[in-house]
Amino acid sequence: MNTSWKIAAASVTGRSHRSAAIPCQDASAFRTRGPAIAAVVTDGAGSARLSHLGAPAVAGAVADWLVDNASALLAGRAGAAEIIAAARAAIERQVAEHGGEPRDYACTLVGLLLKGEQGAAVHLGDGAIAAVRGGEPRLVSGPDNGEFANETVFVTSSRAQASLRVTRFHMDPGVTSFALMTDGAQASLLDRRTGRVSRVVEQVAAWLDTGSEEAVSANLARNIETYLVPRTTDDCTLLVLRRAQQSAWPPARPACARCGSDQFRRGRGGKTRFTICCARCGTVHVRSRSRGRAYPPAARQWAAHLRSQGLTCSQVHRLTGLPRRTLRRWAREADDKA
Amino acid sequence: MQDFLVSDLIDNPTPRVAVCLCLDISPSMSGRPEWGADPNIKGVPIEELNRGVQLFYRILKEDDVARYSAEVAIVAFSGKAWKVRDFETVVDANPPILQLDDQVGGTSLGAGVALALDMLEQRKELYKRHGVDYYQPWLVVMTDGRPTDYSHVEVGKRVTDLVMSKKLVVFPIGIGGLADLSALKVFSPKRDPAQLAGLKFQEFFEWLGKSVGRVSNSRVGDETVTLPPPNNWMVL
Repeated sequence: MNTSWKIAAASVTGRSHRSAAIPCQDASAFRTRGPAIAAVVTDGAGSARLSHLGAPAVAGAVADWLVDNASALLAGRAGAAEIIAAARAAIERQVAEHGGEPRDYACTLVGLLLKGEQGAAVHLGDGAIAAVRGGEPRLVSGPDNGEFANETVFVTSSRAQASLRVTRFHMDPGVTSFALMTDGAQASLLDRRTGRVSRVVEQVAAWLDTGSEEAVSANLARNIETYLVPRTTDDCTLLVLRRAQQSAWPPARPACARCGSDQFRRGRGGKTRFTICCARCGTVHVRSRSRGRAYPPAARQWAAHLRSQGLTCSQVHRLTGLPRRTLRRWAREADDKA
Repeated sequence: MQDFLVSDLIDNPTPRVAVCLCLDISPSMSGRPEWGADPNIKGVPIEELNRGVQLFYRILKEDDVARYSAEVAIVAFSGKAWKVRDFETVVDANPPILQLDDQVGGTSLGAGVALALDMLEQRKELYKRHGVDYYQPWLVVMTDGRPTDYSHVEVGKRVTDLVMSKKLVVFPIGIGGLADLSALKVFSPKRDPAQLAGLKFQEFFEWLGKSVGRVSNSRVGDETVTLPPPNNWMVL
């Protein structure tokens, strides 16, 4: 389990595959390495004989590549060419093991990389990636079909590299969840005309606030079976990521995750966009946003922490930039409570 | 943990596959040699054609996906072309009974195909306007004779462009030994026109219905959909 994001995922075999006794050709994978986390879903082509092997192989290989090359991808030093190469190398290994030709393993690719407050969506073919900010889901990367409904692009297609879309982004702290889905799930969760994403993705993500990843995945599979499978013929996969709720700051033993320093200072940003960063390396540790006109809770907790270490109001004021009058009022209120 | 809030799920329209049947109803379809029919064929072609069209609708209705996905239109032609049926989903449509044309006479292949192409274009515009996804439309041309004008040469260029840019799938079918396959060839740059064996309309439309079903369930990258093998309706 990643410390900052929780994940749930489920793939369910579609009706047309069930009646023809074809195995599920959707797959998902996720990996974490240090601060980087990658999630990938793939949808094997129905016309490709061995795509039930190709889809999981590509999902795993691309997820590995994303966490291994997170910095390079986010900085723009690597992109579509390397990702397609990683996917095709995985397919070549399958060809060596199970025979056939690369196109027998064709699948789409829907991937997401998150690292700190930066991220990238990588997307080939149909399926969709959505982000939820302030409770509202919005489309990050939508399905890429040609003029016709059954035309899409697979990792084995000649135009795969040219068609892979890499969307790099900076994440607002208000982004609470992400969802990755294949074509079958998209049929009920994305409005093809307007690009509107169903709130269902946020409902599932919110289950992760209280439930374990395993329990939410199991419940997700049951719901896909009940509500999504009857509405399409295709396999359905939905993967959701939920930002783990931040515990009160500072933690019991505050230390910068990057340089290990235990000294913090006020970062840029005003009263309602309060930031706290490492005094030595400048890494931003808290970027909180209050509603209304008050300081966010993190500011108050930081001040209380510093006072508990024996600093005077004036010393706290110099470190935090908080007005002396506010600090004295908070101290008084804390004493009253005690 | 709860269930999905069903009211939040989104309904997308089923992607459509438009199929236009462009059918010869010239006098020779009566099967009478004195009206230009192939004397080697026993039976009444127009009646067999009608049975084939009925079967086509029935097969599409039996397919879980195609019944909502396939939209069929019918153009009939002899010396001129008529819109017999505009596009409609087959789920609650009844196939028309085609009547032999014994008034106008002639076989204007070009007029029939031109009308069919115009109808397909209009349908695609309608899909785009309403945000409905669609597959490549299909055009089936069936004739039993030799064109009586040259209109098909001009229309053939239009069809060839569409087929080569993968915007249209065409099935030109000759009925009987007198059908001019070289005239049909102008509509089919990729494969040779097929000749129907005898009056095996039933077999042909059964195959066509299954092929439409396969397309409406398909997803392709570089290559095209593989259709089921023809079931004994074709003369090699």
